[in-house]
Amino acid sequence: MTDRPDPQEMMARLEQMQREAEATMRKYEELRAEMGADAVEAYSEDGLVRVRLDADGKVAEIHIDESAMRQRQSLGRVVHAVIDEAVATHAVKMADMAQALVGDKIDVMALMNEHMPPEMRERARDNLGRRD
Amino acid sequence: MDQQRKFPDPGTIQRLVAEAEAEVTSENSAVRIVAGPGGQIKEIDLRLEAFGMSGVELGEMIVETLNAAHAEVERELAATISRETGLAIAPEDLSGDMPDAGPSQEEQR
Repeated sequence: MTDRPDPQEMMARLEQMQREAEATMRKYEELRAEMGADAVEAYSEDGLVRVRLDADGKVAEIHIDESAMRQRQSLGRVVHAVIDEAVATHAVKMADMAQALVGDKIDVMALMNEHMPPEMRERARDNLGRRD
Repeated sequence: MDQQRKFPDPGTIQRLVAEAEAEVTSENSAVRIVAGPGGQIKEIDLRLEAFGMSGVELGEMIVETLNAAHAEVERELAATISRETGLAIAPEDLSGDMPDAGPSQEEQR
């Protein structure tokens, strides 16, 4: 007679959605532990500047070797470039995790590739490989 | 009119975010940083004072100034969006951190 939804059915559907959301969060935490989301690092080409990001992708530490302090003209630019590379590394790692979470429903890597130059992607992959 | 106030033009917010920028200089003037939204870094400028410091000190000062610049962008952007749209936006809403998932269903029982 009426199309009014059955409250019990709605409640069951909500509970199902909550279970699915919790399963996704559990999988996310497992992936995060497995992939070592806490440590993303990048180095300058000469290895004198190192940048470490925290799990949220924010700059946690910048280590500058004393011998790099002589590069007065270029040090700021080098630090900036290493931060960019560390951020790209974190983005690639997050994209890997997102891809593992959504499976083949969405091509996360293709979306990321649209926004990251190939050479930066390659360096980010190298950084992840070095850590592994 | 009320509806317009409740649902601000997404283009306006997009423009405000794109234009957001903050410049912060460390106390000793050694490090100047221009930051954009979402953790973006537009400029890192090391002044003469920076090279009188040790590498360790300078690294720490850059991190400190970066954090201050990003916090300033979030604070200014939240204030601007709130003013322009009437929405109550806090700087933390723009930080982009992962939300706390809270206790699971099992933990709640």
